[in-house]
Amino acid sequence: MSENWENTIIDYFNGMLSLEEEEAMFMAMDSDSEMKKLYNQYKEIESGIENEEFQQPSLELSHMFNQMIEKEIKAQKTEFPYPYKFLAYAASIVALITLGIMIGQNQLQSGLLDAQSKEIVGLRNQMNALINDQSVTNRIEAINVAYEFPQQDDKVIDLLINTMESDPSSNVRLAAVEALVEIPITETTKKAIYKRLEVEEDSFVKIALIQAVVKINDKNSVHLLDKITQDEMTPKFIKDEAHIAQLKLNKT
Amino acid sequence: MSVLFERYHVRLYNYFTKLTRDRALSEDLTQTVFERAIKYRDSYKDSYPFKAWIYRIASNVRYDHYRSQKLKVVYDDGYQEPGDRMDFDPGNEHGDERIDKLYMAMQKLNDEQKKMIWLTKYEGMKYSEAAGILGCTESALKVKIHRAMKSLKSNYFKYEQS
Repeated sequence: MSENWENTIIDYFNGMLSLEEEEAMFMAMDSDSEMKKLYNQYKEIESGIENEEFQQPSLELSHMFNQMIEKEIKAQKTEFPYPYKFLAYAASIVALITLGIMIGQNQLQSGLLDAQSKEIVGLRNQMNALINDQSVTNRIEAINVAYEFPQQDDKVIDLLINTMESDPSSNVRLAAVEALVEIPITETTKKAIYKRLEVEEDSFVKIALIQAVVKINDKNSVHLLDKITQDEMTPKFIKDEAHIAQLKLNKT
Repeated sequence: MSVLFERYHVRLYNYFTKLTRDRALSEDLTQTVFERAIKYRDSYKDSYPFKAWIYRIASNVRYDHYRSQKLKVVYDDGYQEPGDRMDFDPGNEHGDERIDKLYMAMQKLNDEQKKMIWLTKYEGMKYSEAAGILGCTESALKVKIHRAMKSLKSNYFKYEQS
């Protein structure tokens, strides 16, 4: 096995390969046990990284940050001194000070808000570019971008719903379902998940949808789970999952 | 600003703990990043992703910290933290053995390698984006990433054998 294959495996786990390169790598691996072993080793490391949980800093950090912000706002306010001498103009001065405070706060916030809105546009573009890619890895990466949005974004929700409903890859649909329940859940999201639960044929996506129903925690959706548990064609392990979901919903 | 703080402070804190293994220092460095983000907010450019911008600041904060300590070691060249600062435990509340091994393996890497792995693995950045933050070309970063991952793998499985 050449060293190049090891580099290729590393690039694969970093999402840097094209679909063709991925196929070539897996084909080579079929006939090369050393390469397969190496792949499994990197996969184990990858899995460790994915399972590692972030440590939480102490509350002191947030406290210090809030103090920093307050100090910055006060510093901005001092740029607009109150002219005590001119009592006759009290009303207009009050208005001026109010305006000054607002400007002060705005000056502090505006640069960062601008940065934020620019970032949202950038993230949207990134998602749109990747979601139409032929590579499954890239489409999943597009889904992962959804987690980066600092606030609820209807366009992102629409895109995720559309992917959940129509992407040919079950892995991509699965990623879309998981993303939909990690971002704020809207009425549109709920309806789309309930609708998809009735027609989804892939077992793993179906289980993810059942878990999504539990997360939504809407007792009105129990009848959907009833349908699954009573359907003779549904595999037992999915029925079990639906049954557990019913218990959880009824418990709450 | 609070939104941005909420979004990034835990990630930055974990980035610094990976590099320093010192909780208190990591909180200080995270705070410094936000101080600078406020101070230099006008320098943010539309064409540059926000995450990359904040990590660039973080990278500079880390560098400045060590310069201010007047350490004699060459920065990013296999530097290991002093032993008395090693108060950091890996995030492994579920007792996953892989995470312990990964933690040990990561600690044997140098600063630059840890940064590269953080940006590409934990932050999921493309090579080009990470290269911009670390101040090297994409092709140079690719070679370094390969080297770093091979070292990580070697350390990880060496730890397993021991």
